[in-house]
Amino acid sequence: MTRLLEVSDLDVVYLGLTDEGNVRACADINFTLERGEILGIAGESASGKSTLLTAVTRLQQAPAVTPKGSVRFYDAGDSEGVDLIAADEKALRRYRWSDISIVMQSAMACLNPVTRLEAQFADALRAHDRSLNRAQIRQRTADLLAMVGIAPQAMGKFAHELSGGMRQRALIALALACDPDLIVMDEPTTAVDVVMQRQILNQILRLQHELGFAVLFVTHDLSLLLEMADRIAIMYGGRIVEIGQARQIADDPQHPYTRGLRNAFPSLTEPRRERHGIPRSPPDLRKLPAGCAFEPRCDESVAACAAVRPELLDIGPCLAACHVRAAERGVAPLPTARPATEVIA
Amino acid sequence: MTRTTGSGPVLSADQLSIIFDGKDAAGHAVEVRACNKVSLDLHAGEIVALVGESGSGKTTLARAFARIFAPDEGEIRFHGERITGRPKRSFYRHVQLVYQDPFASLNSLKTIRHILGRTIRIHKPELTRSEVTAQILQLLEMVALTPAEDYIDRFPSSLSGGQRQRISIARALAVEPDVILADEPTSMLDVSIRLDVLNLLDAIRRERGVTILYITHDIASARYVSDRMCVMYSGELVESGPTEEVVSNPRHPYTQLLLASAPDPSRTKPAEPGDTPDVDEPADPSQAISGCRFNPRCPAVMDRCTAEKPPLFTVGEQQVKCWLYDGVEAPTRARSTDEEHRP
Repeated sequence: MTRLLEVSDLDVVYLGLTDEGNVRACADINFTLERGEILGIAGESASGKSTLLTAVTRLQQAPAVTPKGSVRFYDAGDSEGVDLIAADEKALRRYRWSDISIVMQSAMACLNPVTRLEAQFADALRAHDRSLNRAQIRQRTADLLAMVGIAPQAMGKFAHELSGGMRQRALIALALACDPDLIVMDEPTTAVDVVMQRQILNQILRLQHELGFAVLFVTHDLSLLLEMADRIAIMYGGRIVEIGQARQIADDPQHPYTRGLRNAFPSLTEPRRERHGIPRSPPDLRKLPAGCAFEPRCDESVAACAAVRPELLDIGPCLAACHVRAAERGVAPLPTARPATEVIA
Repeated sequence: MTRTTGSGPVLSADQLSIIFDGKDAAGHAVEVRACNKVSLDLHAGEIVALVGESGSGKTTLARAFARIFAPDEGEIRFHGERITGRPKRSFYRHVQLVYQDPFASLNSLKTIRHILGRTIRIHKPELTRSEVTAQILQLLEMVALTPAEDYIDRFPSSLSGGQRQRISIARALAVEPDVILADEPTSMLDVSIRLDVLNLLDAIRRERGVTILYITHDIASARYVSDRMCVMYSGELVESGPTEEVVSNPRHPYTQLLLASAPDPSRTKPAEPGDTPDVDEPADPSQAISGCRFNPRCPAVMDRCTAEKPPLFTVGEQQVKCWLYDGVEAPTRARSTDEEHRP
């Protein structure tokens, strides 16, 4: 596999408009994405997952800024790569849509309500290839719609004339317009019902199999990711706390938060048993604790957890940011939580 | 309203229809049957899950049970008595609704003391101020917001979504109801705290014998908490039965599709993407469909399905509205009149 995207030490900060100061919504984000891979990012609301997507695609708007880190994108045959964070708008334009495209949650809000679908496809296609004539554009639009199972007649329709599932599929077709290497998806199926969700997911998997693009897929629904992703990153309090193969996250999650989350989805096939959610609420990003952000909710925490923030370390089955797990596997000793004298006492 | 004890259902809908004025795709006025001849019994101390997609009519049914909508056809019965025309306040002493959105259902300008106290004062005007306070503290403890003294004078804005939903549940419990209608009580909450709200509903049922109608689109959570499951599609009840039966042996093609589509954490990514049949979108209740309302999407559709509306057939412990079960296991035209379930 060859590398497509490399995110290093990325921070995203919402500049404070109030006395409470700046909010670091993403901190020290590190991950890579290979060509043709599906990486899922799971997290609860306010875990920083959508912020991360807008930073990676450079779609963020003030007051969000990226004070630190890089997002290196490797075009085909380009071993150097380009840092999207450092690139200016003009340079970015070359990558937008033809290399990286995005599918958002609310299709109604993304499609232009006052133009027909055809015109929106033409916009995207022409922006990247001015030589296309009208007939070629119509043909390409029909082909793209056919890929997602929409009849070509639909290109003459307005967004409000389509059903929710059709709109979401049209958006996926639009994202495919310039044959991108990476499609970023932000909860693309949250607004449609479960039967349609299944169809759209299968369609994404089939297209990905045929066309070979990579997917960065963000959702709060871990059970969905387990079924479609190759690898999964779990975010909590603005940080990645675990990243590993989907199989491993499903069968052998390591971080106590991942374990809690994994257990929070009742199964349809396993025997019924009593399950428990994770006690207390997700953290407030404005008031993160000094140590591990999950410590107040964790049933495995030790003294060190509240004092020292764990780094994301390779602990064998996956990367995880947990003192207890790292010590268990002999990767790193438990840090001393307090001054040495107190520990001895 | 007097409470009669007996083995009959606590609350029931009998051939209930709720009809709205709507427009079809072409903009012509049509009648929209958000609920169409639905019969559903809720028995004492059971949790019944009502499962369906958006637009299937499950919230409309709950609101009809809560008397927000008056029946256009059929009846709602409380302990076997018709409730139409009866005073609402005494009805709400027995039946309470918990809404989906805990951010919208609590008055943000009032303290928890006021929000819970108001319900208690309305329904139990004889209580003194200190008795009301004692009850509020007891309610907070019941929904595990402890120490209760720390919560009583707070505003909803200082609580998380999960805590707010607990306040809504406490408010419903304030009248010591027989029935709680919980309309998607967990769908606005983060996944890590949903289970504990479901566990709370289960504890309320076990400890206080409250009957709970749990409305959800999440069939896995419905399986987790319910005794009986009812599946709605396009305004109609298409299948009902003991939860484990319905989940492990779904009869209606729609229930089968719903179960096959639901994400299941015990499955992981297949090596090759599967071929999925393209199924249409769910039928809009304003759409005129002859015969079974599921027939345009049904993989097992027969000629009969487009011509004639299926009745409810009894198959084992399940009841299914599908022609596939005509003649299977000595069908009775189950509950077409619903007489046999009435006390």
